[in-house]
Amino acid sequence: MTTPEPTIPEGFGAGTVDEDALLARLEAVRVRIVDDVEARQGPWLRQAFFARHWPALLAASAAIAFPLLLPFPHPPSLAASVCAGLAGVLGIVATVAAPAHPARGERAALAALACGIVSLVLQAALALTTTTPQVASDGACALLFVGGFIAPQALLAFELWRSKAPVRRGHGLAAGAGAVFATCGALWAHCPGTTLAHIGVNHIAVPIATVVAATWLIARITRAKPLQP
Amino acid sequence: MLALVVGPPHASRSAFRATVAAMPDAHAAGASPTDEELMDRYCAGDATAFTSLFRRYAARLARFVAPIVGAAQAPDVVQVAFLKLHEHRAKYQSGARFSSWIFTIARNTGLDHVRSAPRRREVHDDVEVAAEPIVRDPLRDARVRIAIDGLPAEQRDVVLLYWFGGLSLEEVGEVLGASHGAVRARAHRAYDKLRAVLGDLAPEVST
Repeated sequence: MTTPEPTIPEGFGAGTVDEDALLARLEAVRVRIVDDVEARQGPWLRQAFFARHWPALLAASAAIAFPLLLPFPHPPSLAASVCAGLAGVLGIVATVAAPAHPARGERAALAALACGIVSLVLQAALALTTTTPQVASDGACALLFVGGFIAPQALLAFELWRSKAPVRRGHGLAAGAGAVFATCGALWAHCPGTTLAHIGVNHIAVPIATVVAATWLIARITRAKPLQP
Repeated sequence: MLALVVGPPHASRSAFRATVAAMPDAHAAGASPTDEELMDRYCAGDATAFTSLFRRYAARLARFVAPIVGAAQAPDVVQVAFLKLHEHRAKYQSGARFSSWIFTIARNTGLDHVRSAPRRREVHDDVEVAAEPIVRDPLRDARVRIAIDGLPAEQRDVVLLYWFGGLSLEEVGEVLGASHGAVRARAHRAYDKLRAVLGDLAPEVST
């Protein structure tokens, strides 16, 4: 038996509002918010595509150029590299989409995050299952990682900051992870290291810590000042 | 002064919807966009999308917060709720129901307002509103408000959101973090209590 819809007798009363008077009284706040949206986001939105997105395009170029500088001797885990590269591409796409298409940006960010997680899992699996661990230089790996992600990372953050759009968690994460995973994809295909310690620290812990720190920093620099009542 | 009163529900709801439907809307030319689509456009910098949301929700929010903070304070609380919406619009997640989100903001804003200024909700708020020509029975309205105030908080929230805010039971559940069944049960219990306290009012109005 289904419960009937809860009803209340007519006459007990629900609120009615003199809407004209209410809207007139709230008009000032509506105008303030509309003006704020226009002032913040309007100028950027009215620019041409390349004028709006040059930082992200430059970031993508830098991310693509990085692997070309590295030789690809014997990639121990091609699957992890491909997944990380895909996460990087999706992260950059999400960052470009975020200001004008927030929902699409969030979906792309989720896909980027999923690819990034898969790539990290594959790296962990590689370290745990390898029978003849290869040693690699931790210092060189870390140096290449930092050298690869810094410039595109800064450009992606700049892209979001310039747009003045509200940055959702997913957008910040995409911008924070995009350059990191793009770099990881190239670096892992180059790095011969398969020891548990090297992969655990250099290929998993450092990228995760970098993504967290970059996302936090992006959230800070893109936070808008609130309007006062 | 702004007229914000308690009156018969069904007539007011249809009148409200008719009024909203008649309002000029930047998005009215095509198929009516959902609240969630409007929110996404607003976040993307489309100021007219905010105006559409504002027109859809201002009166509903005022009607919802009036029993919490008093009729005279309701517009101020709605104003603060819209400013909070604007400030926290980055926290809106695509796919989340907009109505649940904005009513949660309004509810929390109303409760903060009550906590920060004790005794704002005076019964003479209603007496003051009684000067408005559209108030038909201020004493009855005051009785209804006192009866709703007397409900346990969880039942009062359901009544306010479902009846005054015009949300569906599902949406009320999302705002309160309760299941559909729990919301229905609370609504039934609340309405039984209101019937017991205000039972004499119903025949009076239906005639």
